[in-house]
Amino acid sequence: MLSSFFDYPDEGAANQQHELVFLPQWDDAKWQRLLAYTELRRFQQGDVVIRQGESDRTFFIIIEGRLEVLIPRGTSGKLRQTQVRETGAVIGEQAFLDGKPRSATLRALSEGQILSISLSAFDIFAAHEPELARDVLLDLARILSVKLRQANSFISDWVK
Amino acid sequence: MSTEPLPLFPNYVQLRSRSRLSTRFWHTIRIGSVIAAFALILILLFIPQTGLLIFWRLLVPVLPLLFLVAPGLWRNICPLAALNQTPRIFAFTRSWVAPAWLKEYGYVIGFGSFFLIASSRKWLFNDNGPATAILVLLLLGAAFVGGLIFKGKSGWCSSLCPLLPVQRLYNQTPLVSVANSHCEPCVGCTKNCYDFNPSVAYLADLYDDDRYYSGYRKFFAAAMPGFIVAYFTLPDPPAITIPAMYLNFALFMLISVGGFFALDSFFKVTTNKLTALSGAAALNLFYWFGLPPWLNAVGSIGGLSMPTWIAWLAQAGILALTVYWVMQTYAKEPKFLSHVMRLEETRIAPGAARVLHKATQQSKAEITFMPNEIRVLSDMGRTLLEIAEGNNQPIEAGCRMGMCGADPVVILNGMDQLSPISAEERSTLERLGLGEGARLACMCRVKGPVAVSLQTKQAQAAIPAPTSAYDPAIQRVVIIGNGIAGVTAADYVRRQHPECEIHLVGREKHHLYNRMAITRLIYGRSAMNGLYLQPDAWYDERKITSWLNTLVTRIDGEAQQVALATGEQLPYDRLILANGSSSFVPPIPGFGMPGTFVLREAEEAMEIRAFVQTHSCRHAIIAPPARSARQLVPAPVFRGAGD
Repeated sequence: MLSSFFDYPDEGAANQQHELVFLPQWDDAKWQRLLAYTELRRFQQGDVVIRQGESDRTFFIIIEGRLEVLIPRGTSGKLRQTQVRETGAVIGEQAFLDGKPRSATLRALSEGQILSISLSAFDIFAAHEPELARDVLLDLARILSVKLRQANSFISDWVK
Repeated sequence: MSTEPLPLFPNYVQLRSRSRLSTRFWHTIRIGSVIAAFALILILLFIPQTGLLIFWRLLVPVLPLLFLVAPGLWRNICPLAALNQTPRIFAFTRSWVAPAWLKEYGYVIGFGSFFLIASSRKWLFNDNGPATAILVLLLLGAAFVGGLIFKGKSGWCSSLCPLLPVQRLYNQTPLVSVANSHCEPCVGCTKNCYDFNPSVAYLADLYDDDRYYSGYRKFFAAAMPGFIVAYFTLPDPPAITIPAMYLNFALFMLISVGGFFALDSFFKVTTNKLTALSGAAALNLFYWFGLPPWLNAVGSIGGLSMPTWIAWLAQAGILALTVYWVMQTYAKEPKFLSHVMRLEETRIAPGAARVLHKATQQSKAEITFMPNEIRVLSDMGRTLLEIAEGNNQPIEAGCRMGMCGADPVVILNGMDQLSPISAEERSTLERLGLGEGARLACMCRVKGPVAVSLQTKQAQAAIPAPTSAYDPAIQRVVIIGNGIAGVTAADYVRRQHPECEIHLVGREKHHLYNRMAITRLIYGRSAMNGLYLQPDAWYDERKITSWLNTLVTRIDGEAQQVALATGEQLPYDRLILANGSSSFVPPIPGFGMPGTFVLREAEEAMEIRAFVQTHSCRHAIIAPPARSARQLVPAPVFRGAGD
């Protein structure tokens, strides 16, 4: 990650970006089939879309708009923006998989829409479309594994 | 390409895409700078006074300011760099990978040479043309040899060059970015290369995991202010001996380094805040002392004497520039850190995003759940219950037919955008004591925007006054069974008869509850919470006497009284039987043994949960595969036990 500033543009960066694309092999029709099991939520600037500490096994895809990721910092617990997520970002897949409370609050920086896939909706999807559901789970697991590798290399970069 | 914004920390390739200056242009300039360097050597040798004035007093003092404003410009036009890169351009470099010692100590050798050369000016170079000429020649030669042997810029510009530490200290945040025009392509010769990514290289150095690697950089930054003060305040030899001069330099630098690390120990700021401050202090000190003599030197050429206010003005300008630069540098660090700490985000491919976006633009009804203002875009024709459940809103569900009353909501807006209310739904709402604005979510199909609240307090209706005359002769009504039928009967009796006693006798231990949801008692941890369909106060408000956990043993029609198993007698004027049905259990061999259950009542569901827990059950056989059984199958209470 530190070294990513010094990657030659046509090498590592592009590969790494490609690794974190969710379901790159899916065609339009498959996405349409998943859509039938999703919910669509609209947000306005300032709306809290995900609240830290909430438990709900749902993952989201931003259809349109920008959300800031807020994490309480320091002793005051004041929320600080750590990153911004935009159209196309997949959010909350960890809570979807492990059922743990949300680790961050997401607040809207703009108007937009977000698609949600809850565990119960996914259960029904899996019953109706087992092959697609398998794709979803395998790919979530693959991405989690990529991130774990990143985190490991991050730790070995920084903690010695 | 040019329409996309540059990233936060653009590398030279990204910067270059914006540049209008061609490589040919830079080559021409570089040829000029090398010729100028050799001309300078000749002047130093043959007209030393002029050469020394041009080099030490006019050119060199400009370099720190150039480093502050546009370090990339210098790195492109520097004659040392031009010679260093000559073997590469003409493809006669050996292109060796720099050995470990050079990677480790190149920077140290670089700043060591810088300190030695700059301090030696005081007794040797400032007044000695040939010595300075030899120095410049040696530097040019070393740069060339470095390029001849090592690949990229690793043999000089990015390792040994005495000016590199100064450039990196004075400008980790270039005010004007000039893209590196040397490296075509990048050969990856240098760690945290300044030429590759000038705005981030210094931070990357300071945050390097090798503490020695970052330590050398901190040391140099720490020593610079002291070194500059020493240079300008120590007397020149022969006023003091040469060894004493070097010792004094060392002393000033030690004080400076000590001060820096003292601040680093006590001030709760990142080290980079101190290195930037140290760089800014060094630069300002340099011009505080160095600017008036420089102006004099400039003036001496034109034969004028510069007024002192020009120096003041220029010093103030440089101070303002460095303050701005320090602020820019401080603002950059958190962005750098958050970028470094960030794990890359997951996302879908742009094509998929377009498909989803298009699909979601079809006509939808916007449903707003209050008070949290959750806005859901739903397809037309779904019920509010489905939408609420799908979006994780706290709502109960029961029969889904408007009969049980588990899912009352209040429509705050858009009642006309919902399917109309039916007679059954209306009577259930009446039973719940809900009035204007209330609906049952399962009965509301949406066709337009609706705002809905899941809290129904505000729709609480007053208990309606009787609509017709009642018979005062009826004083006691007994209802057997406190299920939905019995409770509804009690409700309607009270509406028509404000006076009579109403006795509601139930065998179960609970007030009316949501029977359709009792499987939750098996897998859920909330027991009966949320399952009751009427609040406790509902019975008191209607003066209905509830007999829970009470069996009726006999009805005496003659005497008009009901005998309870407790021994008590309930006389009645009217009797209503709402005792429901019981399950038929087909003859299954072994049924009735421990671990066999009928699931029809809350109590039975709770027994199953208790049994599963005490016996660590892993498997259950369910018959018949009815709706409630299907709900039971994935119950985590079995799953959790290891199934």
